[in-house]
Amino acid sequence: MTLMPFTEEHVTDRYIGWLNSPEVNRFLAVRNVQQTRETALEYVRAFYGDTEKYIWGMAPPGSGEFVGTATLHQIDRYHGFAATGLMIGEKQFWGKGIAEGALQLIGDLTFGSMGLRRLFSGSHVKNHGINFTLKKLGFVCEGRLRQVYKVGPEAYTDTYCWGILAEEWRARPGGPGRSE
Amino acid sequence: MTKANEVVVKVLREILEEKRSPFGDLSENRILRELGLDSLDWIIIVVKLEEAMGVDPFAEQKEYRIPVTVGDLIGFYEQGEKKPARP
Repeated sequence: MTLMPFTEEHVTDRYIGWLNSPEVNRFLAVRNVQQTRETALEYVRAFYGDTEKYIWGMAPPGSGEFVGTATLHQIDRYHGFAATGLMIGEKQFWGKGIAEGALQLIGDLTFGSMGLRRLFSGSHVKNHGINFTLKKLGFVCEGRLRQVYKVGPEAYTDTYCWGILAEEWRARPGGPGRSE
Repeated sequence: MTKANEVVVKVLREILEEKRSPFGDLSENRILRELGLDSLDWIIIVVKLEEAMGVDPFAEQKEYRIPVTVGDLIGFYEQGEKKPARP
């Protein structure tokens, strides 16, 4: 798994297609707004502004081609936390360990060279794929937020809050020194 | 045997047979992790069980828990069976 900077040049029709795909965006906050080249560029440019946050393209092992994006945002160096989020745009890569591989790298970065002490994420309650993966990686489900995202005219969905601390990251079975 | 027991074992067997990897018995004590299920398998299992049982217990938890054994997975759906049907 490789994470590479995702920049304006990567805002292609393929990427915009991911954002607008009902299957891909089913659990994403962008699902209610038709994405265009302009909205996508605005989103990506925000990662290169004054506020520290990162967006990467995720490329499977042996491939230089992005199959999705990963972010590290809400970075607070004083309190020592950051949030992460993922989107796997290429459906044939769902269930292939892409999210797990990316989160391994992001966790290592967050708790390694960045020296933060808490990484958190949120997920749609029915996004069983990412919920499974976060749990597998040792993230703790810290609670449930009610009616976060609008999914219909009068319908809202809950989300799970996930978090992991630096000491938990280092202590888990797949922690530092893993052979992969 | 409860409906949940029957349906869970049937769905697990279908998924594992599609993966074409030997999986042995699916007794209640069997550890799910040993079955080599990945996140996509998990999604398919939960969706198929929701279709069959009319409930998604994993989206109704206060905190997301994943069953350890086949028996635990059955237990999630047996609890769902006891709840009154949704309107």
